[in-house]
Amino acid sequence: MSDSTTTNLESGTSGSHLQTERGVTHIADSVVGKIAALAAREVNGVVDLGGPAASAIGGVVGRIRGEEHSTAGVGVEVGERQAAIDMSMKCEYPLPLHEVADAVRENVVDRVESMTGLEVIEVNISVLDLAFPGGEEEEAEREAERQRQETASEPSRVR
Amino acid sequence: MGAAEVSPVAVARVAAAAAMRTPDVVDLHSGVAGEFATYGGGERVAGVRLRRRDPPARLEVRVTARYGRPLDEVAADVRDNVLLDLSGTLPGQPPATVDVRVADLVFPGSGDRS
Repeated sequence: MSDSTTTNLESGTSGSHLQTERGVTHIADSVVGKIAALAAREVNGVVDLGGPAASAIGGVVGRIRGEEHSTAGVGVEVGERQAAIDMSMKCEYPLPLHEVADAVRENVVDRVESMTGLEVIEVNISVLDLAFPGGEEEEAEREAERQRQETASEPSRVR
Repeated sequence: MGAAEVSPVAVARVAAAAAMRTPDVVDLHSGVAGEFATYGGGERVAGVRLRRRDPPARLEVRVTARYGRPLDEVAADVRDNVLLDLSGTLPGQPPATVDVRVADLVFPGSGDRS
């Protein structure tokens, strides 16, 4: 769990349909994490969750198969009726990062609250890396072109 | 003591079947190491635990749900089904409460069954 989630989650039992006279409903951290990850990935400008390994917030689920639903970069704390979420991500340059972050926050709160009945009290977002559109491909293309030219300019050894 | 004693495993089996027929419940969830279960008579019912050491009896059911419907609704349906089936099949011994834990989530059409 991330150190940055310091909020004390209220543990009152009033006013929530998750606590009933006939039993309690609990939504696991990993489940909230999956919903939050999916919601964040939907936002335009979010390239990937997580970031450089050393600084990324660790995933709450260790046994995820498939990148699509990975929760690497998502930290979740779930109380009886509230949740706090930390996310780290890689965003697309040159979109305004604060607007991307706002959109992520809105979508995550919306989705988690409607899907779980929990109140999301905060979504902390760290942008850890930037992606430059086409950057890697263009670089690779230039490299290939350069090699083609080198090959072409080499004097033929046979006639 | 005149009441018939129903074994925890029997109660758990009824509860497990009731949970499994709830829409959007994919599976019962028995924990990372498969430890969350009811044991007795050489049998094991995964994903259900009966606590009746301190009355009134509490039943906890853990499920894996399918992404789609609000999970609090799915959990409420699980609770309804379990209580209904227990009161129908095990008269005189209805657990007072059923706690439901949505322990994992799977997405339709993906192979994600972690």
